[in-house]
Amino acid sequence: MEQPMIEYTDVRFDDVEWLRRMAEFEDRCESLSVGGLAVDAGIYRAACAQPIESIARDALGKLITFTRRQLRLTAEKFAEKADIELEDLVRLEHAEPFVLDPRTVAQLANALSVPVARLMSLAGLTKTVDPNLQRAAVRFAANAQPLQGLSKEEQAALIDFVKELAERPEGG
Amino acid sequence: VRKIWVPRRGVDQAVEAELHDDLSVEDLLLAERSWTVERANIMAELRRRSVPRDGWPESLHWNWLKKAGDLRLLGTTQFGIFCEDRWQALLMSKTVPYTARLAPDEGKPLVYVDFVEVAPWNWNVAPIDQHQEFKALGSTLLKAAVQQSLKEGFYGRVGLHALPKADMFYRGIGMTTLGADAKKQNLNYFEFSGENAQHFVNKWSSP
Repeated sequence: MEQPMIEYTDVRFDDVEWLRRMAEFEDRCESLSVGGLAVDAGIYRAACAQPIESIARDALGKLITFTRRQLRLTAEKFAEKADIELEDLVRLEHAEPFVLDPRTVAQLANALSVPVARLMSLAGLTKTVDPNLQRAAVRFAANAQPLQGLSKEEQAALIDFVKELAERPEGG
Repeated sequence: VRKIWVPRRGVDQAVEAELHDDLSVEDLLLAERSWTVERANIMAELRRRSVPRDGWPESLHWNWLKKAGDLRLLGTTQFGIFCEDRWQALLMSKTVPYTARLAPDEGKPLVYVDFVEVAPWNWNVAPIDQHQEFKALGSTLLKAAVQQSLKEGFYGRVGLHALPKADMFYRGIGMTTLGADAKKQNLNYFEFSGENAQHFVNKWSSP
């Protein structure tokens, strides 16, 4: 059964006692932020997600840095091209532990020209783990040193890793 | 525009303010611009005091100005509280395509609140000893959303997804939580039944 309808004019905004009680309660609360629009706009990053694992983080950071340098783009230009936050890009390139959201990974995959699903897997955002990709990430992270220009060895490591990323996972 | 009162820190009497229900996108961006500067100041202070990130306000990094072009605000109602020449708090709501999930009203229309933020100077940020300047802003805006729901004939039904640190507030005011919503980054979904909404706007007292 529907509740009896209260006329909207019944809502008072001049109830000083109510305001006092609400002010006291709000004071005890840390926040009252609502996130629906932020999720839809790709701004909110779930705190419950896990930071990506350190080797994958290292490999992802170097993959981005090397590709960006090959494209001769500054960090600002690359962030703009990928349509991701510059702060996220800098943290990724420095392999800082932080939580990546799926939208950022998808934008990065486009900018790096690698399949979204594979980059999601590398970033730990998928349930299944591909052992070949993990091994490739370890090799790449170990062989790629942060030099000014890409050495032949680094170029080869980058090409190998991108090939591995582009391949279908076992059984996939 | 409606005349309202908002409590102020350290002052016994509430201060006169305006409740707007017809904000334009320009108003929102204007508010965001001034809030962004204040957020940067808070961030700098948190960094200076080496406060770990989990102690930072959850919406500190949000950059709405960058998203302005993507925001689809058609069909959205924007409420704002204006006082002392600046926007103190904002709420956005819509009536479609969301419907009630709480029994026995599943599927019935409701007002879905998809954005509530108060200006950063109205935040309590304990690690840097910052206390809110104006109080009860979120509650007043939520009251406006309940009013909108009553006005639409939705009996006060309101739904929203709260950020984790805001769960205590929405539980405390009598909204029912229906748990983490996988479609919204696992944010907890809260809903006001008509009865609880009307209790909130008229008689609410501290739990």
